[in-house]
Amino acid sequence: MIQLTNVYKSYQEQPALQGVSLSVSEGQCAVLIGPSGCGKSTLLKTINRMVDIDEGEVKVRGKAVQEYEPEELRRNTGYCIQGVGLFPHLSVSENIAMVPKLLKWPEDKIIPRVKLLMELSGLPLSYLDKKPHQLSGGEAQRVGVCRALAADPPILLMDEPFGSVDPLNREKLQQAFIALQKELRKTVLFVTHDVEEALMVGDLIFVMNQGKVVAEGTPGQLAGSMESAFAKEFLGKEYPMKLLKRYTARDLPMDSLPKDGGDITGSATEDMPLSLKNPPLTENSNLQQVLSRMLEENRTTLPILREDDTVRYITYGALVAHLKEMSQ
Amino acid sequence: MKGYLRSRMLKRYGVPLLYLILFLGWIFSSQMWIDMLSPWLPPNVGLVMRTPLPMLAWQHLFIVVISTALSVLTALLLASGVRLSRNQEWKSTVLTAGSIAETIPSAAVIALAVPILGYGNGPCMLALYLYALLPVVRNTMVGMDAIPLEIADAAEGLGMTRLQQLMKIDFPLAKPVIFAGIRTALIINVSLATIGATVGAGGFGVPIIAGIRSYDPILVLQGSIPVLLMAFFFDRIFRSSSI
Repeated sequence: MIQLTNVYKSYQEQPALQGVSLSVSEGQCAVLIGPSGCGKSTLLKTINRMVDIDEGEVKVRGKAVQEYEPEELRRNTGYCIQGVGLFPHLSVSENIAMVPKLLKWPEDKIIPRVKLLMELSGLPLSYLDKKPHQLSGGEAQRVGVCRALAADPPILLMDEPFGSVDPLNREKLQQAFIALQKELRKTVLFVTHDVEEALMVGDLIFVMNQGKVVAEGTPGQLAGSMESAFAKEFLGKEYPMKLLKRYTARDLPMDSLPKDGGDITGSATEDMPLSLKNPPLTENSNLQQVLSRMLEENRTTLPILREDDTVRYITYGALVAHLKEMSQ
Repeated sequence: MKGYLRSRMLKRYGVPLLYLILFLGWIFSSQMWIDMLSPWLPPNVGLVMRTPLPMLAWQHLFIVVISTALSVLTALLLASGVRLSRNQEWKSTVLTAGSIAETIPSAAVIALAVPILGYGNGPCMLALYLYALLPVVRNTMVGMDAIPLEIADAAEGLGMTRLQQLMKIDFPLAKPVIFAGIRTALIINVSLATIGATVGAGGFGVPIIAGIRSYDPILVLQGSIPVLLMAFFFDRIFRSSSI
């Protein structure tokens, strides 16, 4: 869907991209991560021709971007940026309807589309006629995502879309985005400098530094051996810990009976008595919560309450094995 | 709510309406008052004007509005062209040229234009045209430059052509600043138009210049008070429409 081959770009002798190659296939959410000034935003802009490259090739849907008219290319590529950039003199619905209007959609097609997107992103329809200055930061970001998706583009470019929102709202927005992406299956290129965000939303992660991609792979693969010292340092020593948040208890094999000691009624394990201090976790708990619970209760086997009200057990060993499997 | 609305309407239209009434009252009835006062005035004061005030008002308005309108049109086209070109050099060139033009004394412009355009309204209108350019060009450029980067970025990224960006984003967002520029230009020109009378242009400059020549303060007042009221009126009108 998106393919970059050996792309170079410099601004007045200042190199921004130095031989970047990457490819994203249809329906994938690829995250570009790296420190400020590593060229990730520039790379994003080469895809909708807001930046013209010096050397190399950028292909979108099998065709070099230079072969598209810039406006045509951009109208068929969702674009969503930090600070949102909503048009302050237009209402929420006019903002969202901008690209369909540019594409000359009939009016009776635009209105239902705007309403559908607002519902999908969790905005009440009473907001249709509000002006951007009446919205909170999180709401404005949602409108920004709606606007990017308005004309149903197959590709979505997001440049730190949740960068200017407080952590609590940011996580909500990320969850909303993940749900939306599950539904719409767009090809997404997502720029961020936040490792946890990258892990939450990305199917594929590209770590960038000084205009180059220094590491790439699925979030799990990046936990394994990495050649780049920079990527290791950037992702941090706690990377596997953060990675745990990406997976849920459902991903692990579960046993109907506890293995290494103790059952839920409180018989002893090898190291501690099994008492049920907290209500059992559910299948939807992420593995970070699972590990925390293990540490908190000092046990290696945890009961998990499934949706059908049966209890199954997962072990620390299974958790480690899962991480290892994902890093292959 | 109703009271709030009423006070807003009053503020918006009431004050300019008051200026308009005073203005019309002056041009239609000042001669009558002066005639009534004439027995108490010195003999060489309060001369009867050859052209009636309403006629002068019309001439003044014509000179100011036509020259300023043409100037605003030129200025907007010029600023739009520079904006569309995204060329920083052009921008500074236009601004510098405008600033230089502004430093030439208006009397000099009028004097230099007489041999080419002849006696009458022409030289005066040329001077007004030139003087209105800079405030509008500058305000248009400044207003558009003040648009936050992410808004301009989003407009481009959504696939608007430069012309669409200009019409749908740049102009609406810069509108208050542009209107402020037009207001400035118009007010400068309302007062500047009076010196046109020295080269035969019509308008309120005629009684003012005549009054100065004949040491007649009443004549000067007859011309300058409506100039003042006209300037106040335009100031108010363009202030309220830019809110």
